[in-house]
Amino acid sequence: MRRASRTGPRGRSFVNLTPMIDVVFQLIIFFMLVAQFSSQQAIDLVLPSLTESGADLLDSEGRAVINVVPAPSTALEGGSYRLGTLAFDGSPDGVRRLSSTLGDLLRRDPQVRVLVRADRTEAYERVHPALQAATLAGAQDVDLVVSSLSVGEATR
Amino acid sequence: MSERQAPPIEHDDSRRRRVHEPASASMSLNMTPMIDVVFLLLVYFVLGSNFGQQERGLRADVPEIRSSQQAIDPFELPDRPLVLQVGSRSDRELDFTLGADDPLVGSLAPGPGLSAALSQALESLYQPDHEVVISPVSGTRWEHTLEVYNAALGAGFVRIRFGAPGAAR
Repeated sequence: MRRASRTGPRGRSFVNLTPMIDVVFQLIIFFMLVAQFSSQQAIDLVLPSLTESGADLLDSEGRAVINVVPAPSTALEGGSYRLGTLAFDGSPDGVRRLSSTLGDLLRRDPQVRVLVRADRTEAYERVHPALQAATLAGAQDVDLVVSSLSVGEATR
Repeated sequence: MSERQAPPIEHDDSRRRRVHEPASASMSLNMTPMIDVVFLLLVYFVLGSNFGQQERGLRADVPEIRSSQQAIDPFELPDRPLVLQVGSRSDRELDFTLGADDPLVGSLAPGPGLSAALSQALESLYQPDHEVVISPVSGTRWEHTLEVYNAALGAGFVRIRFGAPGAAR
């Protein structure tokens, strides 16, 4: 009787694959999600929304994004401007370094679109150096990033 | 069929209970696969939907570097650009002042009519390739600057550039 009761559990002791496969799938999806988020390299900004905006959709590839870091988080981000993961301070020297980095990028691939992302509350004099850096880098034009929501929708 | 089932019930009472217990337990709804499937569906829709704020781009010419030093000659009429001076009045959307340096352009008010007013000025006074300089005073919000830029684009101007931040008047 005791032996029989032992064979009972032993008969069931195969590894149940179903939960393992479930967990593995969840992990795969989790890492896929994380990988996608990290490639965006975008800092959290509230983008300007416009009335009757004629803005175009942006390509997700071949773009260099200059982020204008909001003033309260410049210490956190390590500078006033960010190009990808690189941070540049707001001094003329920092802007020069930003434009030379951007220039290298544009020389390697002239098809790269330069995007300028700034918060809607940002003062113009903090955005202008980023535009100038794009000029110095030799960009023909830039894309100013705006929200696809029109005025009033974003703050509601 | 009843003949087959009868002997175990008669002979071994404990065994019968062991056989029946799992059967009665499986009568309750097994939640695990359902939760698995629900999670997978959830993750599918999370992936499928775009949580990122929908971003769009306004194409703009880059500002000329010399524009910060070069003063605009007021007597050079043919090439003189239309300067739109922008200044934020408060933190609210569309609450800004806007002035054109050309007195022939009527008063410009922020809002949905701004593009139409600029379009009217374009029709009566300028060629579409007339240069427009957006000149925000120091401290103007980016949102307000872009609003003017967008209005000028909507009006049909093709040469619009951003000037250096000017002193507040």
